[in-house]
Amino acid sequence: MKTLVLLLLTMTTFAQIPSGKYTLEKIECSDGKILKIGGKFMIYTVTLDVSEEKMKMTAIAKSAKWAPFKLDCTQVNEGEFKVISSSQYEGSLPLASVKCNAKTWEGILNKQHFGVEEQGIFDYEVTDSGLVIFNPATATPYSCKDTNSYPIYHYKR
Amino acid sequence: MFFGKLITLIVVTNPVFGQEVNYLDTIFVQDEVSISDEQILGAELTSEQVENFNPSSLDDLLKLSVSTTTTGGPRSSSESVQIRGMDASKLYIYIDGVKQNFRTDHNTMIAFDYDNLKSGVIENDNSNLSHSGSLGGGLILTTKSAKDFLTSNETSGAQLKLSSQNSNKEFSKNIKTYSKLFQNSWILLSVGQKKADDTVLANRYTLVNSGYEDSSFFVKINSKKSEFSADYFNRKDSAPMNPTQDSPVDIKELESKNIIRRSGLSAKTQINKISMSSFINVQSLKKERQSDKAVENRKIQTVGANLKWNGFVNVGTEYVQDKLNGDRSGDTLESYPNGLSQNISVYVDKKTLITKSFLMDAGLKVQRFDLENKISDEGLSAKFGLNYEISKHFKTGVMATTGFNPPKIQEVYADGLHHAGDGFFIADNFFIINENLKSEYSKSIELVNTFETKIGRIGQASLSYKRYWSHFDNYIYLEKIDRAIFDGENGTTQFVNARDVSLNGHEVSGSLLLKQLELSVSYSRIRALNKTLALYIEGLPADQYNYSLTYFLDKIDAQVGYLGVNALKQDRINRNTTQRQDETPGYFVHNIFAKKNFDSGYSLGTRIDNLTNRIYRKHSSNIVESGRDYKITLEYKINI
Repeated sequence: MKTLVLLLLTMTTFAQIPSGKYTLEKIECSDGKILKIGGKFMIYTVTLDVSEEKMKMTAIAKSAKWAPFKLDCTQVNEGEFKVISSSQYEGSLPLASVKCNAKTWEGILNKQHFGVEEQGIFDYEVTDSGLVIFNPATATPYSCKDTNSYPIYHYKR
Repeated sequence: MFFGKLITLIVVTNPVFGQEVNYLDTIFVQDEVSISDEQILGAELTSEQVENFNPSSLDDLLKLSVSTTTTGGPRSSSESVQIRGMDASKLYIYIDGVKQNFRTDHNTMIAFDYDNLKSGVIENDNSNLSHSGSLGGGLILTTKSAKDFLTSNETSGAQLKLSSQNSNKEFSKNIKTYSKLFQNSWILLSVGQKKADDTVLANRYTLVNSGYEDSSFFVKINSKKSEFSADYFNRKDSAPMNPTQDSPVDIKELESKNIIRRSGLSAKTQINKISMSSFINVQSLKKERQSDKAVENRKIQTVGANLKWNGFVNVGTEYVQDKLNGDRSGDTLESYPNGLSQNISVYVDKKTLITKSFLMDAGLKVQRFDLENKISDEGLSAKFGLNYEISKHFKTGVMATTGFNPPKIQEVYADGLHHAGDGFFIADNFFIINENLKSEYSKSIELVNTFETKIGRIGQASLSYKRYWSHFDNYIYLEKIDRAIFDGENGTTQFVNARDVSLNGHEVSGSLLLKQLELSVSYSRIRALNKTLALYIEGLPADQYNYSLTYFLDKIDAQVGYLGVNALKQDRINRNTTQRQDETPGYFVHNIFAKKNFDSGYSLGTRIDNLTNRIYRKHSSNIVESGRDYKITLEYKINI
């Protein structure tokens, strides 16, 4: 009985990830370098929908109206998670779909995925403004790997 | 300041300004309009049309023909001629016999003051063998001469012209003076200035960095057999690095301050049956990027000469040399490398009346092209045409031609960074040299049927139908492959050949000429396919109707007119690619104009473009066009 009460108490004290829609503000390498998202021709919008034990990341890469090329890609990663401590959850975010205006880019994104995560342990922090998530053993290190660091996702609510 | 002094010099030295003014009856210098058998395959932009419509840009001018347009959007710095779906890199452009060869990735504006334009001819195929470097014709512009302003009794005069239009608050002033020099020779001097603010588009949005300041100087001396001209044009503007786009002003990497400059000299003479001409033309574009003040310079110097003997057969030769120079703050400019190309052609052609109603037109041309002494090629072009007058009302004709268009220096040798990636997803993109780039060849055939009849004593009606097909070998196009950073490879941009491209089209036109009224309706439809890649040729114009009406109020020496441009929906785009072109909805744009000449030497012209303020975008442009635009022109002419 005591053990059961203690277990229940422990579970209820973990900070749950509040449900809602989050927008990616920045990706920061663990060594401090900020990855510039977007440039003179591309606009990236990444949102994370969190519901009870489910996450859905939608990443849209769209060329600006003034770009000399037209690119419009939407990638969706969907997965489940379970909070295992006050600052960690276990889960994954596998690729669900990729759609681009040009088939060649669908091929590129199907080979190299943005934000795709295999089953693993993720660190998280709920802040006043949003959510911070990272996994040192991530499957998608971006250019952070050049300095042996890993990406940290900063989302705002 | 310089132009102010020049205007003063012109005013002070011209005898007209020292004379007591005698007001003469207004006399029109009538242009001899002749549609030759050669021109049955093209279109003429007559001096009367030019005078009435008063174009201030190439786009303005080409509205008058249903098979021509400009691509590149509403900024005049980005205008690029397009004839029957073929863009400037596949056409020739001449002004008074001077070849205009300035072509870059995004800037192909013909640096020319349209106040000096007299008339134009659109050549739709390669049947004019004296012109080279085209897959299917080109644009020939002719400037005014002193005699265009004078009657046979007059010897000198001057004209002041002031124009203003509201869409971009353009104000233009031009002063011309013209005079007999000595027996049978004449001189025309022209100085012009133009200033425009940013254009207000039909959706009430102001297109930032679309204003400009132009200045021009032109002199032409001609006699019965010779002609000499000097032409200078200068434009300052702050169009973006890519003026065909509407990039935000806060992205300083894409913003630029520019100077476009052109100067040309040409001389022509005719001795008995031999005509010869030579020219030098230099056009430059200087861009100062606003992010880092890096300065890009692009310059082309074109030197040319022509010789023609009109004997039993016509024999001629043309030599053209292009020298390109490009740099960015002293270093190589990737998209505009230094280089020298030479092109020499020799041709023979003959028109023969086989019977009274059967004309044959045949010719052969050999061309040799040399690029940087590394790449050379030879091409054989030919033409064979038959015109048959079936009856006094009905003519039919066929013309088969071949064309040869060597690659440009910048198409072969562009090398280096095209544009940086964003460091996150899109990789950097580099130009790749292609020394294997082959010359383009075309084979075209065109059928023309015309019907003309008089309508009693009151007028004349005509109807014509043109059907044409072209096939291109080694069609040169820009292959741009963008890559993701995590591909591990950079993107590439390279000019390459497509083995198999075809184009075909229809043109129908009908006109009614009555004593005081001219009516015409014309239609153009063009289709073209890159069969090698199973893709539409990008940027082809929409099917289009032109409606034109001019009413001559002779008793009060005035004309009023209407030009309607009705373009249909253009949805022939390559959707599964990264090509920028969007589908374009159809539109019907109405333009009206009026002109009145007064006995006192004044004339007043007005024009309203886009009368109903229709929001529309031309296909091959990513920006909406100008809204309702009022233009007013006041001319004062005094002759003695």
